[in-house]
Amino acid sequence: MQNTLLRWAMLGLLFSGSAEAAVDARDHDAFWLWSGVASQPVLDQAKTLYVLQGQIFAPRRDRQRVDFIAQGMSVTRLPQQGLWIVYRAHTLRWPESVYRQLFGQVQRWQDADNAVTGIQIDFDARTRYLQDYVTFLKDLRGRMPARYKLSITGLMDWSSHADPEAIGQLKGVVDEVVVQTYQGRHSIDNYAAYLPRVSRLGVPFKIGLVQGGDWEAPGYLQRSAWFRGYVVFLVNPR
Amino acid sequence: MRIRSLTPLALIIGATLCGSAQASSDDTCYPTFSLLRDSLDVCNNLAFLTPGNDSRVNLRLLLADRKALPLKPNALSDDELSAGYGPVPFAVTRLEEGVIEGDESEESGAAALSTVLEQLGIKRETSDSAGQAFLQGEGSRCRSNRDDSAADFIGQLLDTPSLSDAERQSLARSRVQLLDGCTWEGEKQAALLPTDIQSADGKAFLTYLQAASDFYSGRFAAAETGFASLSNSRQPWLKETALYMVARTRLNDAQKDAFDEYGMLKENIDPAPFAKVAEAFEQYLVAYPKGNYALSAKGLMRRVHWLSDDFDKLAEDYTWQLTEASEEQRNMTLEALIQETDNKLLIFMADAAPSALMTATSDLMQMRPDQQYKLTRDKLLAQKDIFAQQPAMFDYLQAVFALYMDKKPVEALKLLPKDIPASLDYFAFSQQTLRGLALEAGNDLPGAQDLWLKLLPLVKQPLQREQLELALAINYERSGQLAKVFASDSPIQSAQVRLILLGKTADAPLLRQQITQGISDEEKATAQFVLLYKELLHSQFAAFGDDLKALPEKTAETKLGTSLGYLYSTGQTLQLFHWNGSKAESDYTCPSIGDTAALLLANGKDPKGLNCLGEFILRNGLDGMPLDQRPSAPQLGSSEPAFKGEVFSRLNGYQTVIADTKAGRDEKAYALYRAINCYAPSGYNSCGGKDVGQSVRKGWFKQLKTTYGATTWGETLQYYW
Repeated sequence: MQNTLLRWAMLGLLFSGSAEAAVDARDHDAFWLWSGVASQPVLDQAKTLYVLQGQIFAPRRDRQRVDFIAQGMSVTRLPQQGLWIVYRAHTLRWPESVYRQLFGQVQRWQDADNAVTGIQIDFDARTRYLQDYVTFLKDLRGRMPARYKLSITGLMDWSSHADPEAIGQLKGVVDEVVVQTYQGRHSIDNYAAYLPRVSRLGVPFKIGLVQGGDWEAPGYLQRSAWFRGYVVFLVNPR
Repeated sequence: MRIRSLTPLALIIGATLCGSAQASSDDTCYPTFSLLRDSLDVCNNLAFLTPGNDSRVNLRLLLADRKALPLKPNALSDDELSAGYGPVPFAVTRLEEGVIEGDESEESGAAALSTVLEQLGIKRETSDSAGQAFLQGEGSRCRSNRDDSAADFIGQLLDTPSLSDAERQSLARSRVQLLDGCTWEGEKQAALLPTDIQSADGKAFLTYLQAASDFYSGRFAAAETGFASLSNSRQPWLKETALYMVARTRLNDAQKDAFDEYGMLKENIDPAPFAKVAEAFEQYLVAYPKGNYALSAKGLMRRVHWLSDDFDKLAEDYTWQLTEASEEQRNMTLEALIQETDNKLLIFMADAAPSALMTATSDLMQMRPDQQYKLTRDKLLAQKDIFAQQPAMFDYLQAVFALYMDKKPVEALKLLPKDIPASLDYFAFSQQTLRGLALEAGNDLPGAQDLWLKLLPLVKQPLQREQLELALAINYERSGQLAKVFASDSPIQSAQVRLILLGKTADAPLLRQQITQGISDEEKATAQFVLLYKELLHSQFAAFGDDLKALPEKTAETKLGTSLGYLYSTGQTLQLFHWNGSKAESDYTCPSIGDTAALLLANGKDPKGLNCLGEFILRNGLDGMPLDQRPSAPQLGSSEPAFKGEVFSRLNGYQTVIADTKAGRDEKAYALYRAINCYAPSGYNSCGGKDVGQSVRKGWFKQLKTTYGATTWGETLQYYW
């Protein structure tokens, strides 16, 4: 229960009592489907799904090893027009086997007659690791079959604290960044301060919301040439 | 999470679904130093049985007492330390081994296969197999179509003398070809199977291959017929394997419509087909209690019980696996089983089960306030028989109910033993901890203090002592006996606990004492930092001036991070108080912080002094300083702070200067400039103090651009927010 994305779910629940501008999944058509989250009727209207499929991490007692474990639903035929296969990375030190298995799994989704748009990497790149992350992503991009796009989740504070040069390098490497409006247990309540900078990254971006969470769209968002809409993280109803 | 998968390795999957077991705690966990919490917080667990613990932690405490799995907390990681953790409370990951069993059978299988193929002179074109393409824990019945199972099959061909060499070759080649995929339709399947088999045993092996390929292809009726026809085979391996495969085939058939489009288990599944599955597995296990597939069969029985919503049996399965089975009798590690127990049983368990272990763990979960399934007094009392062998546990659960649900500490105390045993396992420790918490809840602080002190020399299990230190520190704090925490013979040695108290509640004399008597350099430096900071920000300028004199010219360079409440790599050093203002980043010159304080000592509204105190805060990133934040009750450090009055805010300071008719031109202009900037760039105030409306800011801007338009600041500022 400690995935970057999953923790939003908790925040969502925290905020679900609040009446103001709660995120109603019915207003959206792109969703994250995380493991442990039950399907709900709103999926029928989904055009795009981000489906968690695995987690790559270095086990605590053996940091030299890297494990790749499956998460989320089994490979199946999904009706959505756009499907992103999501992997949660805790480490960027991937052995060859991880790449092989990952691309193999994406291929199985493709083989199951799905419209696979691409691969999304969910890595909690705190600012200090950002340069490593860019290097990693460049390499990943080079290995990926060309027909797939590359998406990453991004943190709001990249745009304020991160090395602008590192951020600039994301351009041309990733096809989109889905920016989280929550970080840790702190809701970025001054997202209004960050978002103008996010729009200046020069990379297509989406805003990640959590079902039932708070959101009020700043006016300039719709005017940003790079803004590509929202992705809603679904949470279980209580 | 429930998954849609037709897997022979249901067992592994359970371990990985929620994915929390292995996640490092690097992401999101922060400590909350409190012993009393009733809602779940995976980041803050305690070493006693409580509703606030993650169910996996409570289960581990109970398993440790049963000597099934000792509690071995990991050392605090750098990430945990930089998030402010001490030993207790702890994130659920502290107790996890964090190692998913590697699949060693993959390598040994490949070796075994090449050995048998060598004997037949067959060369493999590829070393890939369909079953080995999956991620650890990914669900598919195809997973068993891999090297080791092919090696088994071909090994049997070698060991069956009645086969001709040609038959052996054909059957082995066919088996190897089957490794490439998992679905073959009519003609393709026929093309893979040999046509030149004459002998009776050869035909039996062929039947097996046909049935296996039907099984992998999802034609379960045909597969079952094929496997069933081998039930009297004179070839012992075929006979055993076919019997097991009949059960597996039935399971895959029974579950094929059990999941919805997104892999969720549907409601109200017909349990009838699963009864037939269970029958088949039982038949196998009776015939081959120690057979090749006994572990798998036993594991798959859990899946049967899960799919047919048979929680009683499922609870029994897990209890047996966790507390009785030997390592050879388990199909996965205890670590993975704990995770599976949580995913598959505990979070779905609405009612009590015959297993006392599972019922107790579930009851604790159901005593959280925000639970889907809620424990009621009647439900709890009806469990008496389940706990017939463990009456103390039954009393304990009722005591937890009394304290957490009914908020009746006196009732809780009646249900808890007064006598302290000489040695405390986690259950006895839980009883005593709950007693202490009930005493405190009933405002008997001295009684609880006495108990914590009595327990201290007795505890031996991991994390118990650390938890007691926290309990005692909270008690001392609430009792107004903070000095005892820092007495030379204090049992409270936990750095985090001491530093929180210094930062949040200690008064000036205690801080001065710890500058010299602190138990570490970090504690000494923290005490000095907190003392100077609080005096300055609480406008105690005389005391600040005096205490500043004690600060050596060259201060320790120790970075004070978490000890001041900062997270990760941020922090301050004592060098802060040697700030001399000389940089004048915005062309506004300030004297040193000591001289600034002296100005304010002489006149609390001195414009230069106020602006420069603001400059000190601004330039050193002290807006929103963690030391100014008071933890909420009942956390450690939540009592009334010793430094009274409001913390200085920059915005207030600037407003005072703006309102001061006698303030100098530069002072006024700079105060306006900075006050407007408090709202840059988001429109939110980042300077503390009471918010002002946009019209006020507009007025400031106008004033700056007109009256003070000729100053540097009047010239540079282009916007207001």
